[in-house]
Amino acid sequence: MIRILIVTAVVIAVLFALLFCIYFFNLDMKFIVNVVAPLFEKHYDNRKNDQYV
Amino acid sequence: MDVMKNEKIRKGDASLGVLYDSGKVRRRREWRGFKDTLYDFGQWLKLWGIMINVSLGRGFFKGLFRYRWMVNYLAVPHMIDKFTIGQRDEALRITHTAIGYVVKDVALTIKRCLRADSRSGNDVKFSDRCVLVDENAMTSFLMGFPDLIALQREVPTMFSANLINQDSAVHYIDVAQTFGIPGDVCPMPETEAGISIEDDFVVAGKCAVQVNTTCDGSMMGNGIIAKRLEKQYHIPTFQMAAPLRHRSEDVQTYAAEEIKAAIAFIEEHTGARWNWDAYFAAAKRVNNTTRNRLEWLDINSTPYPQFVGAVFSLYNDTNYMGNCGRSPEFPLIDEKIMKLVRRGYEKKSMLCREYRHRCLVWGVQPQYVIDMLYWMMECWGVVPLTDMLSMVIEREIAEEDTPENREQAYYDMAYLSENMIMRNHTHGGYEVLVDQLWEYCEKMNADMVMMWEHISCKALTAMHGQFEEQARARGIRLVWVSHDLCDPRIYSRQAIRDQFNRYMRTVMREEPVDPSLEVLPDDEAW
Repeated sequence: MIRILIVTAVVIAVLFALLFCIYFFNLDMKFIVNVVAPLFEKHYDNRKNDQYV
Repeated sequence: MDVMKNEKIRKGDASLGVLYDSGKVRRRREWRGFKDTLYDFGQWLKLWGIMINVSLGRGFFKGLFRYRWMVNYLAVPHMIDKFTIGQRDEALRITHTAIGYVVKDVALTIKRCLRADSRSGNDVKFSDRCVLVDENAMTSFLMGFPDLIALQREVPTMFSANLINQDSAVHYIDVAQTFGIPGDVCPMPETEAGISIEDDFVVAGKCAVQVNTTCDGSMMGNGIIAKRLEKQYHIPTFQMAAPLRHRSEDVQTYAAEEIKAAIAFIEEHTGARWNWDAYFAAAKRVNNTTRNRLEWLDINSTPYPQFVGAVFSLYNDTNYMGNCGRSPEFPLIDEKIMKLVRRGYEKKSMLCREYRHRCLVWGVQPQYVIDMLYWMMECWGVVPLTDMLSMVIEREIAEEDTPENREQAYYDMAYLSENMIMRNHTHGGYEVLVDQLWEYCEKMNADMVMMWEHISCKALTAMHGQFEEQARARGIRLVWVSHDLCDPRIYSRQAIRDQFNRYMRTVMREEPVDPSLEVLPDDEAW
């Protein structure tokens, strides 16, 4: 029982540390604007839309 | 005014310029001391929870690949970082509570848009319950239709996308100009026209209602959008024209007739019937919103303002226009904010390190796109007490269901519509644009006015001389700051800030409170 509690506490602590690092160093936003968004922009640029007035 | 210094020592980062580099987002998040950083971290987790929830909605991934504007939403936390700069204690919590609910509301709109969209979710039954409504419309004419959904598809497509990424409109502006629309019209309706030309709006709804708010540029955009809606997608579109001289008594009957005609149009096309119980329940909530907003403004008139900045304006915008009393959730959020505002006031909490000037923000504002109002506080100690877009509904509407009030209700809905965000001051003559500004300055004890001069807005340009003359006569410091709303290629962020910096140094002869913020390398940032 104690072992389960210790393992759970360690997992939570590691997860917390990991998420906090992502949060504090703004890694989520850096990844999205520098990696994800350019890929999508390429995709959008290659699409042909039905332009019409 | 006398300088007020914050006795409470600010925990965490002292010079906020360290957060900026020449990248697209902040170098890192702000250290606000243990307690407030942990709170901000918790809000960040909550935000990702909302975003993941949206991504589980019907049609999300199809929509993400289909619509260019969708990718901006992956960077919502960046927008929150812009609006919370330098904040601690109650101020941080007020901003998070308000903007958190705005994000939730926009997330719901995205979810609904994609679910109803014939290209993504294609839920036809759901789409038939939707009425397309302009982004700039007060949705009062839907207050008595509890089963219908006001789908403001321009909100996620244009408006809130631009809060997240300052470049989100550029592609669509270029598309519109390729088709011959001149470059000197307001880039906001021009973007909307460009989105329609590019066929990048969701296709949904049983019918649509367009309004003549907020300006001539908006009407130009509506024409292009309505043509595509009706001719290509066979969505009937009603044009609701609110009177321009909205303070005159002799236009009110016409305004009420317009509301009646819009309601009849919706009934005809959706088969739904107007429900007076739902209307009066919504009217009670609208009045609750008005009372709360007026109390927040009262507190902002004291030496200890609490709820200010772009988020104050955005929250009012969402609460009045998009919601207009229809959601029972807003009063609960209002209540939470009110508790924090009162607590902050009782504790005499200050929003930044020192207060040097009490400022009213007037004119057509781009402050959503940049963090200008928070920057003014942090860099120069100038407190933005309120702004033009937040000075909307001033009286309560009839909320008891009686035969007389049922007739009065049409006038009340017209009143809400005529006094929607921005429109009530940009239309109606100099009394509402110029005279009222000085009344608010007196009431809120402001010694400074920051005048946003939107160079593509024809509505306000004619009044430039009157503002200057009258401010001089009243001894009010008037700072003109030019911009071109959502086109950052005309005025970059630093070009906007430089105008304010120049005024503070040359006219006021002051030094910045935080010199690290005077020049920032964020022109390329989202």
